Amino acid sequence: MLNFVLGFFREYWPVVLAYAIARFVVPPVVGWIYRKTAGDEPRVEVGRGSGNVQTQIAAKPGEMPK
Amino acid sequence: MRMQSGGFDATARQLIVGLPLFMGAIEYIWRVALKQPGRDDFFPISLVASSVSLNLAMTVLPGELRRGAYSRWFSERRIAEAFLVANLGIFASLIGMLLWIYLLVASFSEEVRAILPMHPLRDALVYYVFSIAVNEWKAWVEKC
Repeated sequence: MLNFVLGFFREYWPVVLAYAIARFVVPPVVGWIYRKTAGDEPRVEVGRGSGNVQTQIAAKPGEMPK
Repeated sequence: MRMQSGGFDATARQLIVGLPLFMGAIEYIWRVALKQPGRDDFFPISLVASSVSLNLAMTVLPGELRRGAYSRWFSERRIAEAFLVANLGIFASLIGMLLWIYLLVASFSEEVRAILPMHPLRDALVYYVFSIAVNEWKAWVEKC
């Protein structure tokens, strides 16, 4: 049984590695790049419906406007 | 805010990211049961096909943009990024289809394999990681 399980990791280690990259490396790296590039752009929100215009600027880059 | 990835919620996202492990385990059990050598005949082809379907989902624009609710999409940059991700999804799907057809035909034709030497498992995994990265990018574009 143990050989069977270990055999999977022995033969498919690139798959396990790709999964680990996709699960643990890609999300933070993409998020970091996105925050870095989206960086200083002020985020402006315009309220709709009543003609009442609200303008909000996010406190930090990459954060949702409050 | 709940983390979403290309419209999928967190549970589905975990399943999508873990797809290669799941498919690899199935193929491994299948191969051991049938005593078949080689790991490049079935798994990479299926992985590319599933990655293509993931990229096809990228071609759909975010709901707010489609409905014309520009409240969070005021920035031109955000709109441009949403369209860029959608276009990237289209071209990545087309490239994935080429890779899929090549791997499929090369799995049973030695002549096709000789034309362009490739490493099916490695190429399929690279394409899969790329698809996940685009997926994450879209999630960020939708979230912010």
